[in-house]
Amino acid sequence: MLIPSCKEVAEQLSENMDKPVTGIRGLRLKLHLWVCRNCRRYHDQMELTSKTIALMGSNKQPSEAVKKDMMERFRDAKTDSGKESAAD
Amino acid sequence: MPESEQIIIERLLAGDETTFESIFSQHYALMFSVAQSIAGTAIADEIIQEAWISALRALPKFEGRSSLKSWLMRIVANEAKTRRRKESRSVSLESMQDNWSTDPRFDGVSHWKDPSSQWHGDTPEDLLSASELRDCIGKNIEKLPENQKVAMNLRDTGGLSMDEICNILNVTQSNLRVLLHRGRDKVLQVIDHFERTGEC
Ligand SMILES: [Zn+2]
Repeated sequence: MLIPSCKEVAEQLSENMDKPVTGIRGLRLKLHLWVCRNCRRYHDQMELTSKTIALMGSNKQPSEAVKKDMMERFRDAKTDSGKESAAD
Repeated sequence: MPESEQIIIERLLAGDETTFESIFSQHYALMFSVAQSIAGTAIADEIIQEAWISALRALPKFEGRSSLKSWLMRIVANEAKTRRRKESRSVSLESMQDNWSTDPRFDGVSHWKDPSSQWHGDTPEDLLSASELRDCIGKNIEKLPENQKVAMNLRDTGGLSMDEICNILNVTQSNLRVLLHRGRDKVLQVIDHFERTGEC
C-alpha cells in the first residue's frame, strides 16, 4: 500500500521524534498526516507525552541525609587514593 | 572531550568537594530514575553511591570517548543490574504482555477505531497540574518493563543520544525505537484515559 496504516504511522511518529524519518518513508508519513486527523492528534499527543515524561523525572533531588552520606564517602575515597599513592 | 568536562574531571581528581557536590546534584535525578527502574526504589540511593565510588575510582582512566553524563549512566545501570541480581529480586525483563499486535484501538486494517480524545491541557505543566494524573503516570511508568523505563528516562528526561542509549542498554537502534514507542505510547494512553474519565 502506498500510504502506511495509522498503526504504522503511530510507530513511526515516536521514531520521528528521535531521528526524523526521511526519504520515501518520510514522504508517506507526511502524506498520511496530511489526510488523517486522528494521526495528527496522536502526533501532537506523542510529543506532549514525551515532554511530560521529561518533566516528571527531572526534579528529583537527593535528601540531605543522602547528600551528607555521599560527601563523606567522597572524602573517604579521597583519603584512600591518597594512601594508595603514598604506598606506591 | 569538552574543556568544561576536562576541568570538572581535574577538580574531582583533586578532591574538590564543591565540584563534587554540584555534579552529584546535577546528575542525581537521572541516576535515580535509572537505578530505580532497574533495581527498585528501596536501594536506588545505595546504588547511586556505589556507582559514584566506582566512577571516582575509574575517573583517572576516563578518556572522554562518551560524555561524562553518558559514562555515569552506564556505570549506574551496570551497578543496578549487579545489585538486582544480588538481591535476587524477581524482575522479568519483558514481563508485560505485548499487546501492540492486537491493540483494540485499531480496526482490522490498522486504522484508528478508537482514536485518542481531545485533551484539556496542551503543555506538560498543564497536564501535571492535576496531581491525580501525575500520580497515575508515575504508577504506570513503574509497571512498565525495565528496559522501556530506562530508555524513556535516558532519552526523554536525560536527553541522551540514541547511540549513547544503545550503548548503555546493549540494544540495537531498532530495538530501542520499539522500547521508546511502547513506553511513550503506554504513557499517552494513561493520559488519554485520565482525560476521558477523570480517573486513573
Ligand atoms: Zn492515520
